[in-house]
Amino acid sequence: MVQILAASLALSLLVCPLAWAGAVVVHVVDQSGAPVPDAVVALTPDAAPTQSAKEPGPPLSAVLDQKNETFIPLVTLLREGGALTVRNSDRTRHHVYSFSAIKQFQFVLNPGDQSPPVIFDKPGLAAIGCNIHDQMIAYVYAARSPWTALSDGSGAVRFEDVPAGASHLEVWHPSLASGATPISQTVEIDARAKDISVTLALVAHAASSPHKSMDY
Amino acid sequence: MAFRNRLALFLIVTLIAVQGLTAVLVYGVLRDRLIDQGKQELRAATRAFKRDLDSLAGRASDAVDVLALDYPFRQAIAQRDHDTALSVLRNHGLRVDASRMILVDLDGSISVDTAAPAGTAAPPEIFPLQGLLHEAARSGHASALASLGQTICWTVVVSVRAPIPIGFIAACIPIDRTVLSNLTTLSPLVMSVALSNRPGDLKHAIAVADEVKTATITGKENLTLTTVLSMVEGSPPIIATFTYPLDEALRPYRALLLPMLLVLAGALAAALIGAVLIAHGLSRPLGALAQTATRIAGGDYTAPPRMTRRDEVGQLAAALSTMVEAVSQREAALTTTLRALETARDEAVQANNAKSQFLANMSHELRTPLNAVIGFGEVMQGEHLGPLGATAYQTYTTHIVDSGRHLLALVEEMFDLVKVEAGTFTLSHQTTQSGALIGEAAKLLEPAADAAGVRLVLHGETQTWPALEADPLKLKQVFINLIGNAIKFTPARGTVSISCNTTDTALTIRVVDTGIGMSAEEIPLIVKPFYRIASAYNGRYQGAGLGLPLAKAIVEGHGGSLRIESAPGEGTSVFVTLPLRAAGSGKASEAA
Repeated sequence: MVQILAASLALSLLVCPLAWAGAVVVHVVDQSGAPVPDAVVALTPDAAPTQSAKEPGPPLSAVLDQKNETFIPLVTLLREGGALTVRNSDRTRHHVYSFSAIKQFQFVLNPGDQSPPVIFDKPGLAAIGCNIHDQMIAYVYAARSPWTALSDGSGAVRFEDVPAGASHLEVWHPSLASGATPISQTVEIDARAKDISVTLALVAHAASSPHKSMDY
Repeated sequence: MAFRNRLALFLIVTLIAVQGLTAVLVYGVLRDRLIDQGKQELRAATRAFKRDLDSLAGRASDAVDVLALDYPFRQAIAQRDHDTALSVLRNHGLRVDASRMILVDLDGSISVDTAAPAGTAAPPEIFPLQGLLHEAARSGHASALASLGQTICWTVVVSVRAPIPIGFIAACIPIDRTVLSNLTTLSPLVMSVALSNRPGDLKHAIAVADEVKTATITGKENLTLTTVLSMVEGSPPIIATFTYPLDEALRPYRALLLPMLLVLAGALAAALIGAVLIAHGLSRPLGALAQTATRIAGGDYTAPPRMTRRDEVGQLAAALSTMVEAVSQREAALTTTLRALETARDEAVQANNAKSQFLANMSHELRTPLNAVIGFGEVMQGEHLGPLGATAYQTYTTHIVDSGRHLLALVEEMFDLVKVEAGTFTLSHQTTQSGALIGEAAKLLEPAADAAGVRLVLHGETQTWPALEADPLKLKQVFINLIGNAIKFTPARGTVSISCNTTDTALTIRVVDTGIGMSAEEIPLIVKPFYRIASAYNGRYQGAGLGLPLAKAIVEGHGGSLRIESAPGEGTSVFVTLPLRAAGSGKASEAA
């Protein structure tokens, strides 16, 4: 893992001067045109380095806290190969698990405990739940591309220094009607600043629908 | 029909009518009430059944929900560990009384099915109840009565999350026996429900629109209520038909019918016996009274048997006794009168016989001196022994002869009439030419007619009139009498005409005058001896009234008839009809 990371770093340093890059702004809106914050927006240039001098990308480690039987935050961005630490700040036990394709794990956290780091060595989306509290849900997005970010309050994401050429754009949100499958499209990037608008079909309360298990 | 039988029949018919009508009315009212009750119970049963189904659904959903939260199971689904999933489904299926457990992928295809044959890798099949899947995807779980394959069951679909949706569990739970048997506790009668998933039944269910209907199933009456229980996308509609056994509900009342029939039979028997007894008590004394009445009719006036009864029959017997007494007395009186009358009649007959004898004797005794008078008168009239001298003597002599002859004729007529009365009158029978006979009679009376100024006309050719087998002398006397009477009662310038009409069997001679005539009441009287109509007594007409009765007697003695038609002032027609015997019948056709 560290080797790969080191290799990537080396590669990105090498190709860095070649970048005729531009700024790309992605606006995420829902079907009614309202801006969607907290959407995962990942732009992956086809033949591009996974490192950028100006774009540090998602962090290599993150903490997923549990408070009031809720995962905080709902969506966590990690770099591919990044480590996730799960913390229990509740007074109850939690049984944290993931059956997701990119990473499966499970452990019981006593109140106040913190898990060992979970390394997300594959890119993609993982849904994390608690077997004791079924309404609890969290998502971890392990990003391969450094041009990956959550949309801000105005539903916008700004990427700098994007290499010109074809790029793969992926957008995902917990309320997406298609569930865990992100929206993806190919966009052409050139030296000029580019505005891209993505419309998401969202369903209300999809992630926290009332369930009978709430009674347990 | 005897009184007894009528009474019995009346009682029986009345009883049957009253009992039958009562039974039918009571049964009808009970039936209507039972139908109403059945309708209410059926509706209650329908509500209870749906409530029970809902309760079953709640329990089943809860049970399946638990499985959806099972960690290893979710893990098996997430990791597509179908063998583990199948074993979990089987294990859990037993716990929730499911007949079939199915794991459905997010795309709606069946991935694990406890009903699938083991060890086969069938191509993925689409779960048919897509409506339930959509509902479960939206709200976590869904359930409905549906038809999976051919089986109608309560189908619970629960979304499985780990923690994002990873699939669905579908549990097929047959309708709990307790749900069905709960129906039996609603009513003392066993109601039943039949579920159907035949699309054809939907049409019927919509047509009857939840109405309670009466239906005859295998010869028994039932109330049925058909309602659509569920319509789910991907399943035929589930229709329930609730049945209330009306026939069974009516059974206790029908059981009442037998005792009612027994009561009817008993009442009938009692009525029959009573009727027979009452009628017998009536009909026996009535029969005795009838016999008494018959005896009275036969002339036996002994008193009817005494009866001490005070009812109508007793009154009747008493009345009969009184009647017998009265009739007996009246008959005794009648007998006395009859005897007196018979004596009087006998005396009268004897007197009449004596009179006839006397008249016969008298006639005989009168004829001898009359003949002497006439004989000597004729001698004197003929002046055989010398002239009479004074013309007056000649006239007197003529009067003596004429009066003598008249008297003799009268005596002979009377004698004939007496003989007719005595039955000793005899007629000779010889072939007589009727025309010649009547012509002679007319000729004889021509002088009298001339004297009276009456025209005497004889119509037709008298030679062609048929011959008769008759006593010519007597018959001639008849016509002399008839024509003479006609002339006598016809005023001057009148006409007396004689004509003849013949048929194959009879000859009718008509003597018609234009005289004074008589009333219809007088006609039967004038043919009686010694009778002359009142108008004949005015002095203008002579005669002893013997001619017509004698003529009638003679005609009838010949087997003929004499008929008179007349009206006052209209003249008189006398019809003498004589039978044609062998002689002269051949000339009948020419005679008209």
